[in-house]
Amino acid sequence: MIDCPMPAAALAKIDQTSLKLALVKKRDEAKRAFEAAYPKSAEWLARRKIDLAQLRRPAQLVAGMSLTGSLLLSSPNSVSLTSGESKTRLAYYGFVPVGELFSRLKNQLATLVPTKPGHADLTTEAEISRIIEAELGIRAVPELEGERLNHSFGYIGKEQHLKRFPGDSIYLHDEEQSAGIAPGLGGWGYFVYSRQEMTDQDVMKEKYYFAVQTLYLPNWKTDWPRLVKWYKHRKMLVINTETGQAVVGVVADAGPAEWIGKQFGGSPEVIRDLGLTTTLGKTKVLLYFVDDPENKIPLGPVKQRIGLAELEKA
Amino acid sequence: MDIFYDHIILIHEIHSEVEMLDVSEKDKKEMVQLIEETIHQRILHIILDHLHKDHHEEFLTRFQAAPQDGALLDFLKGKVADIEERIKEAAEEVKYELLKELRKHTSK
Repeated sequence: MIDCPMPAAALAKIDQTSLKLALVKKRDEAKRAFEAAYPKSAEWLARRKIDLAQLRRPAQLVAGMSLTGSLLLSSPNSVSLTSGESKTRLAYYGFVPVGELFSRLKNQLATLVPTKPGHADLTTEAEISRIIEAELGIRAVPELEGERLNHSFGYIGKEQHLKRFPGDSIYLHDEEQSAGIAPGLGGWGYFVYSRQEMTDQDVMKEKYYFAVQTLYLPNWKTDWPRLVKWYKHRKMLVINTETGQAVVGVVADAGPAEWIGKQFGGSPEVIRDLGLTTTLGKTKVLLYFVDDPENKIPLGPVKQRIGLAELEKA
Repeated sequence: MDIFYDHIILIHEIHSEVEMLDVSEKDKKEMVQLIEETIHQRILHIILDHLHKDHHEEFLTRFQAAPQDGALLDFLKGKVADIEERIKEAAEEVKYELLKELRKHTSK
């Protein structure tokens, strides 16, 4: 038993505003201490929208346990995001609607990205990486294991589909068929040697691929055997700095040529998910390496912060 | 719905104190929620403090699936012999702090 019970007679009047503030302070202190001691567990709970104040409400808990962000937005049975209360609660637990996520990323990067293709200074690059990790949950860097492209900021243009295996045709690609298929092979050849051995991961690699200018790397001519291996299907994150839309993909082609005026190429799906709709268009993007040694970051558009839950499933 | 450690922390003591306050039902509900969240946060903290990190994920998975499941306490006891005592101590501490706040803001 606790030793400071409150006599009933003393409870007649309270300063409820200051009491509420004090209780909020206690709650926030406990939360901060927990997050500082167990950041992964805190994120684990947050990703499942587990509200510790609502543990006694099974429906609330169940709703929070299994719904992804997109389902949460669309399901009539889930928490309504039209209510200010729900928005506050979701934001408090780390869920940010996709439009808001893009907007936040765009606004934070606006003053940091270079004005022309190239690289930001090292301090700014570190800040950009910090923002990306905070907003998207992805560790992305312009230089990884000593390797750096000639540009980490520049223009990206739309590429065609790539042949994934001998005999592949545009009709076997299930999305963006109007983009066509490149007559030659990608810079790293076929993804697999037969249709039968193609896995879902191979399909995703072609859907979300980048072309990067490895051929212009200063050490390409002398070190290409090693670089070919290093860059093959290297995972990268592209961010449309004009909209904040982000996509994770892999390097699967070399190019584009310098004279085109673009520094990067993206598959039809990459371009679509970056928000570009015209085949002639080009947009300013950041293209960073994804530091993902355990290969847990999924390929495709990033529509919410990637947290421990996704990483655990990967 | 009960939480598996409710019988250890005697959370109803706090509920009773709030129930006695001369405030609206809405305010009582709000205060109880703040108090509960603080307590659950602290209890979860103390559990993870004592539970080896290799078991954190399993515990959290089971906890989120069924916070009321009495088997959770058995699971914890199997890993930390005196976990019941540790939870009780943490609960006493946080309840004391919360009740001090209640008293501080109460006038006779």
